[in-house]
Amino acid sequence: MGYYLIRRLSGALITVLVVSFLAYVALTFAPGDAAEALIGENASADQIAALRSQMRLDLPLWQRYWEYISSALIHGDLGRSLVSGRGVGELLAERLPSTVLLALVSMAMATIVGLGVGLLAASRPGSKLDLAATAGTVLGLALPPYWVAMLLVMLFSLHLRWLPVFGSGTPAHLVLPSVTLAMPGAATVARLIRASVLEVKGSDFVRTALAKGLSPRRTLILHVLPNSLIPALTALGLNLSYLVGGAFVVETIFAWPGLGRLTVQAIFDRDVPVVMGAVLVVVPICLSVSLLVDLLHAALDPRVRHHAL
Amino acid sequence: MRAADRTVCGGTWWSMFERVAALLMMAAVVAGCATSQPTQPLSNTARPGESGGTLTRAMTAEPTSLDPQGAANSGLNLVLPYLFDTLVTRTRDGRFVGHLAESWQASADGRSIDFKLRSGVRFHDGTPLNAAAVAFTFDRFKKIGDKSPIAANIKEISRVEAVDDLTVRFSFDKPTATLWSTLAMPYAGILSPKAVEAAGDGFGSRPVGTGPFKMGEWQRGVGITLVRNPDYSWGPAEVDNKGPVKLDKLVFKVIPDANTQFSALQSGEVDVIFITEPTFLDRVKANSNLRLEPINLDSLIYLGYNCAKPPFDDVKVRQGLSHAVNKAEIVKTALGGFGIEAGTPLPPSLLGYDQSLSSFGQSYDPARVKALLSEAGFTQTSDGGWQKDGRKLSGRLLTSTRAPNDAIATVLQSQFKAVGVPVEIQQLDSAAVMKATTEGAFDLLLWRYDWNDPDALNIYLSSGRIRQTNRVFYSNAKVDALLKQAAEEMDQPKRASLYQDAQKIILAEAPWQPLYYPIEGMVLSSRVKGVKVGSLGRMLVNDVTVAGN
Amino acid sequence: MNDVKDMASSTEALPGSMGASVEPHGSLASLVRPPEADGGGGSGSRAARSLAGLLLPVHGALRRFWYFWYPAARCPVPRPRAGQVGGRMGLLLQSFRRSPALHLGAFLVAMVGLGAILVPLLTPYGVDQIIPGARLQPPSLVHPFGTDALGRDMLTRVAYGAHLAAWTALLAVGISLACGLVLGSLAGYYSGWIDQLLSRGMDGWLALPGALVAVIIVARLGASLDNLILALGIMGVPAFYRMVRNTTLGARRMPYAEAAVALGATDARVMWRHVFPNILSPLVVLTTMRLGTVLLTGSSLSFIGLGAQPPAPEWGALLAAGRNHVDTAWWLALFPGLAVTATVVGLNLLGDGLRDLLDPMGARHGGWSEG
Repeated sequence: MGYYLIRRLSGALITVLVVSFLAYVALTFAPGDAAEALIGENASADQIAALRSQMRLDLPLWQRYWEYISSALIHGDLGRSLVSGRGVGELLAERLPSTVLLALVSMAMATIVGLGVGLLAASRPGSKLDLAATAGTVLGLALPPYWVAMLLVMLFSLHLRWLPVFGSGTPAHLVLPSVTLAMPGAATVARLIRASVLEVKGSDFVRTALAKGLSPRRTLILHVLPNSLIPALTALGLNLSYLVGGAFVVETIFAWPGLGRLTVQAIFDRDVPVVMGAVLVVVPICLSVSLLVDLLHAALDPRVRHHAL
Repeated sequence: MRAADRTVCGGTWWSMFERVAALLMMAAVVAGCATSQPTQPLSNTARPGESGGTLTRAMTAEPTSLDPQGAANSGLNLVLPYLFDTLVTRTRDGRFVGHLAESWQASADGRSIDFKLRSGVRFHDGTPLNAAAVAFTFDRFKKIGDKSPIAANIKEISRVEAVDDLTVRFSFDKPTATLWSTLAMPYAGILSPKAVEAAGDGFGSRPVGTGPFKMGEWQRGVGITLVRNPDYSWGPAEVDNKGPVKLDKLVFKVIPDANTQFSALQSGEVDVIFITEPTFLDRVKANSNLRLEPINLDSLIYLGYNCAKPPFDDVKVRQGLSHAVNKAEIVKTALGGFGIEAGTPLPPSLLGYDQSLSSFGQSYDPARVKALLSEAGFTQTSDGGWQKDGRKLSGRLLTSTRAPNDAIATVLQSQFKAVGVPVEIQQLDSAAVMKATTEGAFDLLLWRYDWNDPDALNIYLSSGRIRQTNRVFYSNAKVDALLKQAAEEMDQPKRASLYQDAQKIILAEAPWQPLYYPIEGMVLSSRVKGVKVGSLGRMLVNDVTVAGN
Repeated sequence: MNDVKDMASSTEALPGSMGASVEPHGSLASLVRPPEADGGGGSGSRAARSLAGLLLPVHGALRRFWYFWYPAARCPVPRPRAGQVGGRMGLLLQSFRRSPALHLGAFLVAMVGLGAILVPLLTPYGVDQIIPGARLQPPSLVHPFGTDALGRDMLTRVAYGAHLAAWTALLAVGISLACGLVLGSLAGYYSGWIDQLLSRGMDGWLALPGALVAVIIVARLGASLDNLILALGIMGVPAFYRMVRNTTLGARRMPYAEAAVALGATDARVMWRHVFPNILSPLVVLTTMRLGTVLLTGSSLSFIGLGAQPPAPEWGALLAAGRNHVDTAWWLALFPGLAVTATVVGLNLLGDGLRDLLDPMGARHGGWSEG
């Protein structure tokens, strides 16, 4: 177990380095740099050049990357935003709590609703309920999230006046964005749970357990559920990476002060330190979630436990 | 299948499943109900009656810092005028009147100007406004203000010194007629030296000026709250209430998406938004709780040609293509009528504007297109296109992703197609467009300028600014000379006629085809009363009250 | 659909067991078998039968595809039981009931495709044509989908948007497929350090949210449809890579492959003859699913302005424009949204149905085959 962890963590470190380097290269080759984006319309070439050397943007790529990554990982200094001059760490710290809140609430909603619908559908396969649930999940995966957001706002905020249109701060503000984000996750979880429950219930070990006299309740809890949850867990883990860094469309629509919006804005401003900081935050989160999922997988499935660890 | 289940599993297993599932569904429903509170009032406007309430305004981009002398972004000049005052302001009809400065006196040679300051003005931190503070402000500007949009103009000021407690002297190497425009910009707001020294780098988060509002709370990513300055008694010329504002608070909320802004206005969560796209006009008309105040800006949207790249280096090609542009159709179709057709490169609010000059330009005339293109050596092919020396006449129209550029570009494309010139549209974000123009990587450019002084022609069309702000590579020595002279000409009528002469040449040579002067729309909820509009589209809130629910 | 799952989980999961309801290829016996008496509309109404009539060619094509790759799947047809509709129609209906997803999905996709082909041929309007005086018209006989803010016919634009959608999705998935196939087979076949390196890289790739990757690529290269396609293609590589790698890993170690290697077959031959056929079915399923995902992601990015440039009628861009008029011109947002949803639903259902048909076990390539 210890060796496994060491292997995973060192692998994760390498992954972080590789990904951050690729991101850095991709960003710095973008046409136009932060100096131009910053001064805007009315600046002369000299002004831009002066600003560029002030921002140290005229050094070669390797040097800039090395300076950046060594100060980030060794000293914990993520640098300053090229646009606002504020510390990147400070900027990220401002956005992280609301992002995490939204992500956790969405995931919780997705898990609860997905489990419920999946189990309901699996309990009566082939019935009208199952058909309705399946239709629901198919729609949930196919509806464009921004369209759903639009329709939800029209109904709940403008028509019924139950919920606010934008912003953050109260639990009411949390509802519409998290429902929009949870929808595809819930649909995926429901489908996975349904498929795996149906598969597991027909398998030999379940039949054996029941034949041995284990009560249905214990069979459910000890055998069926743990085995069914595994694919759903993996899907939830992937979902988290999307929620933390990729949900910028929903964040824009609802004016939610999240990390995704900050990152996309920084990409367009060519504000490299902020984007790199976001990458260095999002990637380890996702890798640790993936590690957590694998550990949970091992906890739930003894076969994995003995083979992989 | 179900028969098989029964024999294997017995009857109770599935009801167990159902129980678990139902429990989870109920949990989800309960959680959902608990987090939605159906009857909360959502508006931010708090109390009715004497205190004027809270005015909430949506802003698309959050400023990164509220230091007037730092780099500008679109959020900055929204908030600055409420925190800082300037020496002079411009009225809506274009005159310059004193605000913090009561009067001014130019020296005989025009190389220095003395401004006499109003007495009794205090900064938010209690320190008095005096000449030393003004001198400090502009010294600081020269030292650190490289990123500001008016940095070049500030550099033209060679010295700022305090003559006595309330008199400041600005000295120049050569006379400059653009000084008043520069001083009226919100970036030239006067800062409190004590606060600057105390805050150091943090001044951008804790700005201190003389404006009608003090800095309240700044929740990054969410919004900025300004609170009333109770000591304010020096309101600008255009407002009725010269004393403290009636509002308790002025709140700016960050809402990046235009649609969300509009929905927030409809639901009452914000009280005023500014719309720049005409697509919302129908919705405003349909909603009786909203009213629209159109604001004319000192701006021009134009179609530019890359004058350094064949075939657009030929003036006849430019003139010919310009005749294909139907400005009335653009304003009607792409803007829904929300714009003023432009015939000259200067908007009506700037000195030197002359409506009659448009006759020097190119009006909509498809017949002239054929004539001019033929004169330029092009022959029309069987499919209606144009070619010369085996090369087809076509172009790439570069513009930014800012709305309503896509609609305008589309209409232009169809207008050019109608005369046989295929045009491909390329939309990039503003930074990429600016880079592409400095490299000359375009044929046609749909762009705009916003500047409060006719010196804009110098900034955008003089040959000295090629590869910088002169994005169309236009070069004409006579125009350069006229514009340089006008920038130093202090006599207003003379200055105006110099700009008119320059415009005649510019219109004839057609590096730009001016399209329209934009109208910005301020959309207010009916609860808001007393809004006045100043120059630069600024919303003056000194008289505003907001009725509570 | 549920019967299939049950059959899949039973011990006897031969690929051909699905063929129980499908006729043997080219058998004349079915044609000369007397049609059973139809019990007065037994399993369905007239409508269902005409629907089935439309689906017949689709069904036939799928059947031929199936038998081409798995000739062993032909099984004798059971005699129709009492009360069932007989003949080809009856078998089609039976197959529909067994796998409604497949048929429904194929139907939806076919409808969208039909619209995409027919509307541009029949419409009197151009896709960019600005009709003077026809701004923001509600749906009518002249403009079935209404007109937009500039006065362009929406039905034409949505139909051309389907072309763009097809182009984007197919090209992007093609890129993912090609890269994933090559890299995955290398990694799965040779294992060792190639596998470690590539898998590490792909893990890292997955650790970044795909949308962010697409934004970086598009911001760097400039917003255009081609760059969007490239970004979407690159985004999808890990899913294909993983699936191909896992399948190849398993198939390479099968006895028949080992035997071929022992007999001196070259790597290429082993890969083509023994490994590749195993990849095929999950590949088809994954491709179909990915098409839907790519369509959704692509339209999201176009929604925020990163995709096709105006005046290209890409569905996401149409939705973004329609949002501006959501109170006053509801049709601008409704029809592009319906188009996207219908296409993605169709593709997902088709993928589901194909998975049930071709790859019911799914365990060979590591379970969930969605990227």
